[in-house]
Amino acid sequence: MRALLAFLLVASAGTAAAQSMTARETAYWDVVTRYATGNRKDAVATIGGWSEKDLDRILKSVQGLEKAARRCEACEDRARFDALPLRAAILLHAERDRMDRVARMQENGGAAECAISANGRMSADLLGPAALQPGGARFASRFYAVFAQHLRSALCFLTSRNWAEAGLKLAPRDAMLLFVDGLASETIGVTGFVEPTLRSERDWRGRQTAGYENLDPKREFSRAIDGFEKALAVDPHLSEARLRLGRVLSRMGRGPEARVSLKQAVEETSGASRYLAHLFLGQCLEDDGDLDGAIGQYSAAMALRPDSQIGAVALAHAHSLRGRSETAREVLEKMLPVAGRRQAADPYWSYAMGSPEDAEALIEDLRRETLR
Amino acid sequence: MSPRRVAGVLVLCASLTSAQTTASPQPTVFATKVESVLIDAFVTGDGGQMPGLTARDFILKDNGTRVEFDLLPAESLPLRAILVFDTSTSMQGLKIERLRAAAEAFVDRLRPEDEAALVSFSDEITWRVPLTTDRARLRFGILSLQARGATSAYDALFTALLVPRSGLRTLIVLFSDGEDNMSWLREKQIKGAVERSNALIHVVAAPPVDPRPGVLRIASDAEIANLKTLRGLAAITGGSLIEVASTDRIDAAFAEIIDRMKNRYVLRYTPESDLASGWHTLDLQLVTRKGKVRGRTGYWVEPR
Repeated sequence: MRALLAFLLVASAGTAAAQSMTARETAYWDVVTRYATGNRKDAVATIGGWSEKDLDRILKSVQGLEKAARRCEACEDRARFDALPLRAAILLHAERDRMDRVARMQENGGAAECAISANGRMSADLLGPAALQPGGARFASRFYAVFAQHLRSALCFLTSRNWAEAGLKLAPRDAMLLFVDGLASETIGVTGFVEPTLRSERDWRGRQTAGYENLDPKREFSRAIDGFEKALAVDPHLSEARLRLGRVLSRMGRGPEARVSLKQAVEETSGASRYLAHLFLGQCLEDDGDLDGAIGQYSAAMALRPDSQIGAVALAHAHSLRGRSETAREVLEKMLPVAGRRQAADPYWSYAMGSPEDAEALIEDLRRETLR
Repeated sequence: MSPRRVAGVLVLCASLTSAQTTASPQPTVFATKVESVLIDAFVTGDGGQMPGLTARDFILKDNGTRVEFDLLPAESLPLRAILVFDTSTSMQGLKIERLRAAAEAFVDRLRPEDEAALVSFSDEITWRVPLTTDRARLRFGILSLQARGATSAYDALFTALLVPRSGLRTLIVLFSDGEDNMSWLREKQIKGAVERSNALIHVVAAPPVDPRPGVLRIASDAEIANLKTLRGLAAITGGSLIEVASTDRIDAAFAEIIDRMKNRYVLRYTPESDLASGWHTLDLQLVTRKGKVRGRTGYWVEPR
């Protein structure tokens, strides 16, 4: 964390930058520094006590430094700005925002909580200035992509898409952001809602749903296809985009195109994605009346995950349509004892909405790499 | 009689004899080639269920053609009930407690010769208790129900339709409180499976509840569509969907199902001519008095 060390040196040397800081600003950067240097819990708790007004003042001060830094590439103002631990600050505010939303969710008996708090807004507002720092643009686009996935797994699908779109303004050709944008649209199309808490509330979130009263899954799937295709155009090796493109094309009734995409996904992917590609390709073939082809794909999925109930139901159903009721029954009977004893969750369960654990792992990776 | 395979409601005559004389959970093996359609009929009039009807009170049409049938003594047929229960996260708290209590009461209302099984579904389908007359085993299974995860009602229903051996007629009591959001099977596929099955399905649907205290939860479009689907699936088999206004009515809904089963009429129809493949629409009418008849809407004949 070279930028942070440089900032601390500048501040401790009593330069003009440090001297011009207010006591409140110094206290703020002290909290950020504590977060960056490992006192995570303490820093997240402390920042929760800061008012929106205080945070606003800090933001204005950062924006002032950014403005000065933009005037030159190798001057004192630029060096001073580059030394600000903005990425640590962004992660700190985002973590506090997550904590606040979890607390509100618990107060609400488990209902999803999508309203971004003052800390969440602060992390978003700091992303623009952070992008000016060396390596900052890459961090910002990664942060947008990771948090969009976190919001999706927190059932905040529209906020997730808004987050991805905000990232795309900064990095329009970022394959991961294009993919995540498509991902949010696919989820909205599959689930048929934008965010679960929006129906009964009339706050700003309610206004956000304007235009979604007559949510059209096909429109959402078209957006998803657009996102996945653009992502693949930038990065043809983004195999999860290939898998999801095939799945959404299939949902849109575009069977031949779906089959091409899913066959490619079967060849290019491994692990969970390959298992899903076999299942989805099997469904395409079944819809097309090719029951033997479908049975082959479902069997391939089961070979990868012998404890898959989803695979067993798909396989049994195809066998029953083929007139092999006894085989279908045997497949189901074999799967039933597995319930509750599997080693890992079935990837199909988190396909549509993501899993909070996976999203948390992405955030943790980003935090670890950033604060290294 | 055509040797063509008749799916779903067609069972061998011998199965009926077997069902009347034994409560054995063992699959029955039949030697006879004679196949029959069995129809559970529920008749209601102004005063509720209508007892005391005879075969002369009904007419039955198969694809528009009037056919002969026998009326069987339903009270002597043991029940084979499969309880298929939603144990997704939305069932947490009072709802799962009420479901457990209602299920225990359901088991208590069964006759000694009746069998029951217990299946639960969330992300996973768990066949908790196989068909048994052992009430203690059933109660233990019911008490072990825990709410957690998503809802895969269609997949669970498919499993309950398929796992019991053919020849065994089953009553499926499906309980759910929300939309299916995890099944592999889609509406069209589960409908096809129900049409090909020999089961009678009754559904009990509880209202969705908002986890926030004091917040009235309005069912989403998807939940409303899901209810319509479940109602349709039950109707295919002659069963119905009972929508309970609150969770403390689950017990009454289960009691109503037992009551309906006790007062149902069972018709046996043996087609004499060669059967055309595909869906056969059955039309059962009450002709001698006013009343409403609910019975299986048809059966499926597989192509040669």
